[in-house]
Amino acid sequence: MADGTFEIIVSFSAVFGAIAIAGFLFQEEDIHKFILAQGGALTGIVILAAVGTDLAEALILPTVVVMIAETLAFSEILTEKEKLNAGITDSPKIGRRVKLNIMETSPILVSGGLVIYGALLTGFQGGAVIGAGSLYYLINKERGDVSGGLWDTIHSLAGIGLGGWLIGFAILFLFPRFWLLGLFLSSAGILIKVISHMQLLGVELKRALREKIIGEK
Amino acid sequence: MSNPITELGGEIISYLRWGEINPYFTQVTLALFVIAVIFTFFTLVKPEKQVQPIFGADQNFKRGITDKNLRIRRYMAVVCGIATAWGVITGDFYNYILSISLIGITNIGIVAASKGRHVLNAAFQYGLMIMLSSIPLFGSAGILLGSTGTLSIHELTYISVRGIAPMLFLIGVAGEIGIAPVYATKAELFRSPGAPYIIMIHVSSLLILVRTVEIALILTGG
Repeated sequence: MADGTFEIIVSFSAVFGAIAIAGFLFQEEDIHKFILAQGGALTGIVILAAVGTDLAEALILPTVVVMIAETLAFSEILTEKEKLNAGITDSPKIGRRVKLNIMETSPILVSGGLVIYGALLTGFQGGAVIGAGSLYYLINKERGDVSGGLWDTIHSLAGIGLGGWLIGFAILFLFPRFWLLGLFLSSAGILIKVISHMQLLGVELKRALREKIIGEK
Repeated sequence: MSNPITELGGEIISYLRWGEINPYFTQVTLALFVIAVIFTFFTLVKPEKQVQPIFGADQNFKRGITDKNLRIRRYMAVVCGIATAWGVITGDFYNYILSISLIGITNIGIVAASKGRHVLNAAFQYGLMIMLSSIPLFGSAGILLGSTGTLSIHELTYISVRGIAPMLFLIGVAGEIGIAPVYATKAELFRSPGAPYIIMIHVSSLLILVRTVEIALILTGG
């Protein structure tokens, strides 16, 4: 990294955090405060990423996990608080299907691009990218329920992927001569595992959206 | 050049060689660790019931805490105790920060388990505080790593850290843990049932602040 880049990035993220906190001070609504606090919290990740070494890469993942955990916990508290303020026990339902043009037209292009890019990446990141693409497609396009047989098939595919990942790791340690085979086995295995889990998540998410937010059966 | 660890906490009694993390016990951190473990076991006893008088009559009633509520609070208190015990002995700066974040989230869990409007309000305000103070906390780790090249406390004893990293670290800890008893008081949690779990917030806050002062002195000294 060039000299002074770290300082420049840290200064920029300090400015970004200052803007987020300044906006935070003027907000009245709790949800706006919450969103701005999230925006500010991203600065921590930016500063860690600006270090730009292997160790920094290892530190970013736990930081992201902490932020996601905080976001989930506090959004739950906010929902409970608002329910208590409004005097209701269940979340209100929309009661009709939401039709957005972008949800009809964009999925093929967006998820196609994500799938191609993820296939080039392979490994855990590639699986996450392909999984995000298929999740986007499933949320927008999938209509009916998944049969039990298909669900089990996808599940067993994830198991086979996990097996390939473990065998690949064993080859790396036991037979270091075949390291390329081990590398490909483990990267393809984790790719399949992450993709199938993300797809199941997409189906489940769609069902939850239809039942809990839109209020369909 | 003297070693700030032995200068502050006495001789290193024991030393776990786990790669780069290297947890260690000095006389101070051993005492903190034992206190954290003892208070973790205290959370396993039955919670006390709050006695409230009925005005206008010579009677009183006891307010208990429901079973589901009890389980999640106990779980959160135990996790909080384990994270505190790990945080006071760890030899890695980033590990320390992670356990501080975990303690913050579990404190929120303990506070928010009771379904009172004021309690939930205080929990949400504390949550915003935690989110905002994770900026200086993780920012200090990033700046420390960028300027010194290591996060191991044993390595940092030989390096004198200057600049804003220790200051950001102190601000972050103050927002994340130091302010926890204030919100617990604000929610009037002392008057709501379930006493041993509330104690955990205070114990973790106290122990972590002692350890934070030690780490800040280790960072700036050396």
